[in-house]
Amino acid sequence: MTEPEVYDKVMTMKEAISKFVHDNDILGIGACANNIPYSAVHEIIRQKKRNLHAVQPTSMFEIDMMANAGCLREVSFSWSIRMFTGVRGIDRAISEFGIKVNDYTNYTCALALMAGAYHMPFLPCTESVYQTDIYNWANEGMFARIQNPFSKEGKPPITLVQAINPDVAIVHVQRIDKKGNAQAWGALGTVRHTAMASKHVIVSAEEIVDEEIIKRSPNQTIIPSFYVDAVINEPWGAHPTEVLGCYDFDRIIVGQYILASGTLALFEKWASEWIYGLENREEYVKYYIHKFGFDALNRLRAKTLLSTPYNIGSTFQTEMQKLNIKLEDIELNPELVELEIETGKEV
Amino acid sequence: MGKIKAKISYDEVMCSVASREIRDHEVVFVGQGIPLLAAMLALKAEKRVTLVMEGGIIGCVPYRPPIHIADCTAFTGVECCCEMVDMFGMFLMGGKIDVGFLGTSQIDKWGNLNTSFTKDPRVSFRGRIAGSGGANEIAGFSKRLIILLHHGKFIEKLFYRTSPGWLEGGTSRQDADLPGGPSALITLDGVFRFEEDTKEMYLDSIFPGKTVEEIKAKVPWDLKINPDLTVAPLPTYEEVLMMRRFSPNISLGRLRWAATQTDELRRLSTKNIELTEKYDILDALSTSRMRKAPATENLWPIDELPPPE
Repeated sequence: MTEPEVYDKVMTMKEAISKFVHDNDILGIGACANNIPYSAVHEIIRQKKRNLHAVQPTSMFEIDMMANAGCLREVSFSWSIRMFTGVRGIDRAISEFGIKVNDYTNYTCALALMAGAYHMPFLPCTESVYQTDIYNWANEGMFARIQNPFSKEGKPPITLVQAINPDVAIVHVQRIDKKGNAQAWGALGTVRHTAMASKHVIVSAEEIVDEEIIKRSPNQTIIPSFYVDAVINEPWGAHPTEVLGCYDFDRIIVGQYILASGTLALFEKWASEWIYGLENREEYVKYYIHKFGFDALNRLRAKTLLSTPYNIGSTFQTEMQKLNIKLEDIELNPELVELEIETGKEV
Repeated sequence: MGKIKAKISYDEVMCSVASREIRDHEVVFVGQGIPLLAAMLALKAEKRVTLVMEGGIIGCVPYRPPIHIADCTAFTGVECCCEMVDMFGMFLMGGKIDVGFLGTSQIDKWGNLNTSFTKDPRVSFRGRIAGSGGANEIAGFSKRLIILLHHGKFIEKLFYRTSPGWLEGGTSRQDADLPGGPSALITLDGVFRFEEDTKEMYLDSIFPGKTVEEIKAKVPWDLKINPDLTVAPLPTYEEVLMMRRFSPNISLGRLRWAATQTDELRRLSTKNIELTEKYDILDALSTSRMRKAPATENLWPIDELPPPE
């Protein structure tokens, strides 16, 4: 009998990216405009991963950043933020460096990932796509038309979108336990399907919590542990985008990035300061405080507004739950337990 | 008694007109920007509307304008959070969304939209803009679609059709199995609607200070005009105050707002950012249109400015 291979999933972002992200991979970015795993994106740029194919329906600056840094060969997306037409890294990458664009809509890209997550080859999508140039201009392998095998005669064919299964997904959540049960709240976008569709999942979290805390609100778990390959304790890991209950959108960095994305030279300057010049997220936060002051960071911190607890109790309680004693309490204070051998009842 | 004098922008007229398109008890799919501000005005007018956003937010009342489609930090609690596929696949396809609001950069006479390219993509990909996002399905499946044309233009033949309007007019949309359809187009000049049978766009009402000739000059085809052309009402003073307090960037227009933002960036940081030295920010600014933005004070009575954070 061989022991199953047990390894610690908790690691640094550097280890996780070098272990699970490889050149030519399909990279699923499991975020729709909030909780964006910028810590992972920065590390991918720092480790100079090349020829990646990024998949994400709605993108803020992460695809733009990777395009600027030359990490991408292909993107599958539907929308990316723009401030001024034609000055984004993604525009340059498309028009000058010829990266391939698979232009989806939010729904069809989300469906492609959903099909991937449910291990279906494709899913039916909408007629509105067929009626537009999203369908007419689509690259091979995105959409198809078939006759609905269940429909009566005379019904028009239906449009299908092919599944996408990324090689690796990067995700940022509010909390996770050491096993890898990831909990997030707020608008979920496509994060679950992106993670479940991928072969490997890297999850960074604002905090690593006790398993007991996860078990107290099980409906909050969006990715169960067996999907997760790497668990990274990364406070401020989604900065400068927001994480509900943790911090808000940071206009300083975003404003600087938008301007820096104007030309490649400006981007290089920006990146050498905020990506290449820093070792990890901890240094990034330290540098931010050094540069803009602690107050600038504190201004973003969320005020506390707790959710209402709900009863998850059953008809029984363990002795530990009754007395509200935890295992580590017993470790610290063994006198909390008194074991006695029962006598006079030998079997 | 003296009179209150305040100048307002056409953006604000557009917003208040858009807000009147929303009816009581409707479920409204809002995007960021003017749609959201219009929806906020509807809420203020005590219409019981449910706002939903495509990132997976249902039943929200913002206390500041959300930055994007999944910005939960703009609300203190929402009625329901879900996933994007639920939002589109269940709620939108299920016919639960009464009003869809979309901005666009190009529109043709049948209300088809292009939000993907400003230049002909067959010539150059340089003109690529935001992309579809959720627009395609929102245009395809909302019961009513309200289109906002802010900086965009009318065009005879779209370079790229991102989202379906009335397709080729007549019954073509119905034949393609798509429900709903565009009900109004609101620009900075007036309100356009679509004919009952042909589905061709016509000018329904104009904003005060605009002329029909002016509007016709912007439309490349022979624009039909409603014989009973009306003049849209101005927003009430209360509405203007609400819009400016809630969202000065939309209310004043993005360019004017952007001009105030470089100062804002410096102010936000407790240490001096030294943007100029570091990133040649002024170079970047001069290449953009920000420099041309008119000064804020011309439009905005200074005592009406929202208090600094």
